[in-house]
Amino acid sequence: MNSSSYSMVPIFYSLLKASGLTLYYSVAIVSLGTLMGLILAALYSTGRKIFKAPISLFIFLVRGIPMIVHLFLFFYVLPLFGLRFPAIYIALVGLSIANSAYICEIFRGGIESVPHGQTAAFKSLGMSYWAGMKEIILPQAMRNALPPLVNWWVIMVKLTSLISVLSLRELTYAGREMSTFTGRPFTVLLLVALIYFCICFPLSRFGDYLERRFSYIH
Amino acid sequence: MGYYFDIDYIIRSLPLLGKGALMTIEVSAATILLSSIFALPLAFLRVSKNKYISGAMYYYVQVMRNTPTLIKIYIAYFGLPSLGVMLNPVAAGLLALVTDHIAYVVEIYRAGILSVGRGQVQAAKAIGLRNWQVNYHIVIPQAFIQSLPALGNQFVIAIKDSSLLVTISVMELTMVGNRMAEATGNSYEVFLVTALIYLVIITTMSLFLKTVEKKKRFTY
Repeated sequence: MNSSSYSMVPIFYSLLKASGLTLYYSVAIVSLGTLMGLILAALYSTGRKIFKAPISLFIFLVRGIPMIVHLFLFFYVLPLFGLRFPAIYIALVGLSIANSAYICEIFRGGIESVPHGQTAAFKSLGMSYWAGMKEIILPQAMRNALPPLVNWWVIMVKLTSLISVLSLRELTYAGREMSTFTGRPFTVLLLVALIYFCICFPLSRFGDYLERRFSYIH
Repeated sequence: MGYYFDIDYIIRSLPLLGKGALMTIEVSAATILLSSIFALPLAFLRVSKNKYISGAMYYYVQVMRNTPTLIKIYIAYFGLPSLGVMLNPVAAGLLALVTDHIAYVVEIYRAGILSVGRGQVQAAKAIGLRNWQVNYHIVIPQAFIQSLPALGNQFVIAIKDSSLLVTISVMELTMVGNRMAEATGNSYEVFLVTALIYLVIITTMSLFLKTVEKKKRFTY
């Protein structure tokens, strides 16, 4: 059959189905990564050496290695220790762990931007560290951390495309498959890019909005 | 476990991985060099007073920001041939990475251009400089120096992004590691060493940037 006689409709339909998977994976790694990043940042800002040293090392290791190499490391090294999981879990947990380092940095920046006098103030009022963190510091830190956090979420949605490198099905994988299937790689890949854009653009506009909204001096 | 760390193999693998590392540095240096050249005129379009020109540039930046780099690499390598443009893997990868990084560098330059005080531009115009002279003598030198730290960060990002070229078989560090792991089955050693080499390259780069930034106060 001549490749040009394919209708674009079923192709678009199967790409849309695959983008459902991409959305699902995005939500998974964004929520898991953000939660882990928040915990790491909270532990880090206790200022205790036992937390600070390993978290700093973790951040250093993650930021110095490309994301795809992290995936390969998780994918090839874990089985050697007898840890066998379905590939998709390795990919999702690996991406979440690696991204939690970047998100920890974002939260840490937010927490550190709250003037130190506030910590001194809640301590002098007799509040415990965690109570003061919850009631006083984190609400203000959130306002500073939210715009870069949302922008990082956009990056994480884009990073789900790396899952395809491990031969797992999601939007990018479906795009490659469809482009060989139809023999029209340019059109199909452009369509895939468009779908990614439709997912990411509203999110990054929201990030830009937050940045404008929260950028006043306190 | 019955598995041991093959140090001998690592030592034998170093020359090949070194070659891959060199390719990684070459590709990322080319990416950042080309995109910082091409982004300069585009940054002036981005701050243009003409709404349509600056709007078009805004959407270019947004499209690049909101689509995965991997898809751009695939479009350049698998998509362009169907339009009659055949590129070898390195050229296709560079094309994709440069179009991607231009968007970020345009935003870096824009911040630099906007940081040059309006008073300076008005003063330069008042003493009779033409528009291009104002840009060439007053705006660009200061904007460029303001942008240097951010450009350095972009270089680090380019090193990490170049690892994506593994998907189109460019022989950079990740690809060399991948091939060796497949050929010998020593995936544990190979990927650990690959990761370590990236760590060394990126850490050296960021330490260098930090010292440069400290030494030079970026103000006039």
